[in-house]
Amino acid sequence: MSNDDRIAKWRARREAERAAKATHGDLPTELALVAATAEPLVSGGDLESDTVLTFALDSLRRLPHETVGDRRQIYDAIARGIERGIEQIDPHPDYAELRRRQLRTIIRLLEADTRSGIDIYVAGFRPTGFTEGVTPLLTGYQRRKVRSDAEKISRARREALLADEAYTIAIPEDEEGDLMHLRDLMVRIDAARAPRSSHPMHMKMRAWIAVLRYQFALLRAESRLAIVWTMVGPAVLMGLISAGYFLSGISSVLNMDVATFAMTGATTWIMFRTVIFRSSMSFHAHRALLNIHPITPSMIGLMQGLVQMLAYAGAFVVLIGVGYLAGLFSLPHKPLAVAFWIVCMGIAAEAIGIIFGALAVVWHYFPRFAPAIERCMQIFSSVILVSEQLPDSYRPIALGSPLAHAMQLMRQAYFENYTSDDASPVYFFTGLAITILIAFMSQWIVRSRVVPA
Amino acid sequence: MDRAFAGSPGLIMIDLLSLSDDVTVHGRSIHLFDNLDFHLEPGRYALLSTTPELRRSVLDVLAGLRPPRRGHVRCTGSVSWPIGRNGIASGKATGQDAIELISAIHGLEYPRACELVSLLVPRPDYLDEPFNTWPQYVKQEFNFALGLLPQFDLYVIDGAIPFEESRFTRMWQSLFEDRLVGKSLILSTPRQKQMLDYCTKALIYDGMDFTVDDDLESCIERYPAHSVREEMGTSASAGSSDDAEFFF
Repeated sequence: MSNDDRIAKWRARREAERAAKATHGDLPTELALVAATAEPLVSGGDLESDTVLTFALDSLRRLPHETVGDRRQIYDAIARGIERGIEQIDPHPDYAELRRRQLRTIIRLLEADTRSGIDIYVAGFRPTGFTEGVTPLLTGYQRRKVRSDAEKISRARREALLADEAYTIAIPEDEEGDLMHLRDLMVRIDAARAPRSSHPMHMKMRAWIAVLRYQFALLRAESRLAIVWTMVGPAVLMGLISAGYFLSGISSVLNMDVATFAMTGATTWIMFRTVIFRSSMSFHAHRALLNIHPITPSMIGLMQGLVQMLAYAGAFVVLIGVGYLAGLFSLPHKPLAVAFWIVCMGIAAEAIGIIFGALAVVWHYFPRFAPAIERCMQIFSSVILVSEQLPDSYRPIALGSPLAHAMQLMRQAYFENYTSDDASPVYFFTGLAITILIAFMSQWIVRSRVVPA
Repeated sequence: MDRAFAGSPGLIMIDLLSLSDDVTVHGRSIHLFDNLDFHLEPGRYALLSTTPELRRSVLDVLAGLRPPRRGHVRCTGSVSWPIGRNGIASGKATGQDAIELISAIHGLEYPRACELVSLLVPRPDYLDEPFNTWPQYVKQEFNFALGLLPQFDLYVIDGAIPFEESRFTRMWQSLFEDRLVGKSLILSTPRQKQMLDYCTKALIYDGMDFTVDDDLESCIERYPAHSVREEMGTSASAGSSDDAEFFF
């Protein structure tokens, strides 16, 4: 070390002593220096107890420490420096308290070891039970800090809430870009929305179409076997009906060829029963959708029925087309009239489905009887035979169901050489209107009992 | 429910007129309201009750999802569905189907709505899968993400707002804060802290009647946020046990 260095060091020491005396003038110079150098212990946010321990041991080593009184003066000077640092820097009260407690614990441990005759001045000394003594202090501080931070956030949130302002959630830097993009997307979604798109009437109209598309998506999600069954179901019933006629040696029923006769009855009826069952089931089972306003149970039921009707419209086209090419079926004489009567029966099925669905809401066991009711309806709906085949005395029984009239009118439109003398459009439409009225009333009565799932 | 379209966002109020209603909860018929007339001003309310298991049924009526037996619920402005319910995220439908449904009903652009949800949720790979294959937490996050798509005048939340430390929670809360400015809220949550974070008043359902209390903190202490009965099932789940009977 050169002479200049020595002089510089001496000057620095003189400056430090002068500054220490200026702050801690009532203390001897050495103790004032300890107090002054203890001030930065609370400045850096350092949580380690080792920093305080090292500082305390260094101070003890430099100054006379033989008696308890000597050591007490040094400890007091450190505590005074820490308090002065707290006054100057104004750290968080919890952090200030942590430093105070760390110092008190270290003093207690050092004094206990000194009285036990342990040499605490050796290099790298750590008091007995040091870790056990200081760890709870740090844990407690961290716990208090978490709570304090949470309270601070809660206060800030509360202030933003009362001022009706958006509270800024702390976001890591790498997520800020994502958030900006999402905000931008949200703004663009709002901007693209039609001004009166939340009008109840507009929403209701869109909801009908939305539910229909949703139901189509569900149909698409069904197994391939279920979709194939829309063809197989009518084919099986058609086979059963045809078999009866063929086994009796009959190939034509009132100028209608048996295969086509059976196909029209079977496919229409399978559509009819599927629409009933699916719409009544959805009325109750798809209640999860009721969480979305303005969807209603009847909307779900009707749209489910419509999906089935459209699926069976496809089944009709495929069956007639393939059957005609195979030489099994004849083509419809009046296709539009045939479609009209099939749609009319579909509407009747929708109404019956809603009635069944409403009944199931009141009496959950009712759907068990639905297949039996459907079979009875099938017998009296001209599926297997038309009323003109029956003796006059039995005809009123067969024609009791309005569906029998629609079925015979549909066949009249399909076959050029068949005219139904018994079927009455007025009877059918009267029955249909009554069924729709009952469906409307029943869904209205049970609506408040259908709870969103 | 009658919905008068106000046209100006932010103006929302619910009028309950001569409201009488009962609901079946856990197989028992319970009177919810008896000739109740009540007017709810715009604001942010925490729904509290001495019978927390009935809060879901009460929300159904307030949000217009289920009409009461008698009387009217008149609401001015647009009301959200109860965000947080698993409802729509169930069955064979996919996440894309649900987004399409919401977009179609509320007149939103489907591609952008889809982009928002897929960027927000942590598992966008599930969006093409049927809901019945989704883990519960993915469904829950998806439900909350859906709730951000349309802008409403009144937000109804039924369930705990996302709170676990995650990217989704931070993003959702930030976007929901933006959505909530100038809007109203009815929050039914088991987490008391969320009530304090999002609400200024308590909407108390007690004795078939509603009251509004400005001292939210004391109300939170008085009324339980959660009950053992609620954990055992809800009014809806009590009714849905009969779905199995719909096999023909």
